Amino acid sequence: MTDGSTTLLSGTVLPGEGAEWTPPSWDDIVREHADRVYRLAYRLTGNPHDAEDLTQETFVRVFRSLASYKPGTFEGWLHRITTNLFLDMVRRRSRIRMESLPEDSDRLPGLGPEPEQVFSETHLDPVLQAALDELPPEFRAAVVLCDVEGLSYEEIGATLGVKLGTVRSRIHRGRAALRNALERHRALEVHGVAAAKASADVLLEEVHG
Amino acid sequence: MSDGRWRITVSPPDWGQDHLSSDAIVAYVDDELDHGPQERAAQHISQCAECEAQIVAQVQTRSALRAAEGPVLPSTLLRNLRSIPESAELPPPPPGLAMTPEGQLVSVLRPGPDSRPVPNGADLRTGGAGTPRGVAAPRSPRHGSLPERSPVQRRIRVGTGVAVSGLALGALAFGLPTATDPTSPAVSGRGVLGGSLLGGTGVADTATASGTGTGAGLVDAQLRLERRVPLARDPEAQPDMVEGRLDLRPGSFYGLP
Repeated sequence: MTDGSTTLLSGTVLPGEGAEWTPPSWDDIVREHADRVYRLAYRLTGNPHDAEDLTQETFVRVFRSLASYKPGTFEGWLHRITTNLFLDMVRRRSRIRMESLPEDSDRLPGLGPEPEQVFSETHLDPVLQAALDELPPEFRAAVVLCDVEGLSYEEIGATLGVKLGTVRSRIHRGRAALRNALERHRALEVHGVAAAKASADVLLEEVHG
Repeated sequence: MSDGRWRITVSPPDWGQDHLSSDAIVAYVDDELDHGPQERAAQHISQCAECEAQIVAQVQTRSALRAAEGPVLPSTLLRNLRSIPESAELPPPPPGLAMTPEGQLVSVLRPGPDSRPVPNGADLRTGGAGTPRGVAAPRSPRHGSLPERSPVQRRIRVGTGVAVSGLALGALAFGLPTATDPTSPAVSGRGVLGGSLLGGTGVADTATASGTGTGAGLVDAQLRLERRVPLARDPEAQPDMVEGRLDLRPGSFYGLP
């Protein structure tokens, strides 16, 4: 039984072909892939709410077109759906932003929730996610697919529909920008902690003094 | 100055001033260079502090991402994902597969070409379920009368499907109100299913634009899912634009403005 599901999941056998093929249950698919899709969705969107929406939508798409699933790895298929739904979402929101700049702009790309909020909700490295959120979405997608998902350049190119040269340049520039952002955020954090400590000291002095 | 012009030809090139291109640097870091270039790059890096520093910077950033702990899948989300078969409207399973009440996909014996237990319309929908050509198939009544599809017809249908889904996607990209067909009762259904919970089509877009926020989208969508939308119109009203693009050639759509 497990052989059957791995066959589909690794994508070597077409559904409906071959008598020995045993399709996995929906539960198998969810159990096997939900973590991975959610992690990717989280790193791309930068906040748990959008990550949940994106994961849900990805699996709805998967469910609806499971039957017509074509050869290729199941993981690759999930990456494509998740990443492209994310980029669609970003484009749609930036269009909305340009057309009718709404007051509540806190859910727009690049303006995720405050790092502390992310941390309190997920305990993820808030500095890292904040730095990731600063990257333009296409660059963020390339870097995340490479460094979080471990995809090859070729797989990233196929996922994003871009050439290898574009993949290289997005990863290179994305990482460089990410590094700058990380350093800036870390400096801010250190500074913030020092400032908080200083003010706490002052307060203590006032109290005891 | 004129002296210099003559000397250039004689003096050996100053290799020390050459640096690896950024493409080479990133590909070196990710082990994406061929063997020869990889060796040459390694040799250069051993002598060039500047390129080495860039390599180190790339490696460090990559490590930070790799080392970061992944988020934990919320249990509510896991439950929602598992219940998708109960909540999601979808075209019937394709020939050869069926869905049990438990959501288990099972193989069924393929019916003979003459028996045709499935009505034409359903057959067509299944054939196109989720595939890009499915977008075009239901629009053409001729297909309903074709018991067998020759390879040629099949190719034609594929071609049409690509064009249609491309157009539909283009319309989406340009922000045309593709979901505003007032005659279609399935429009709201599409907003829920074909469109995304992230604000896929016109319906959800308006909600987001009017400041409702996408946070409400999920709940809203789920509520509406419980009301059955007319499934018969679904394949037509619900082009699988995303899958269509994904299954085919994601690249071709990125050229759109």
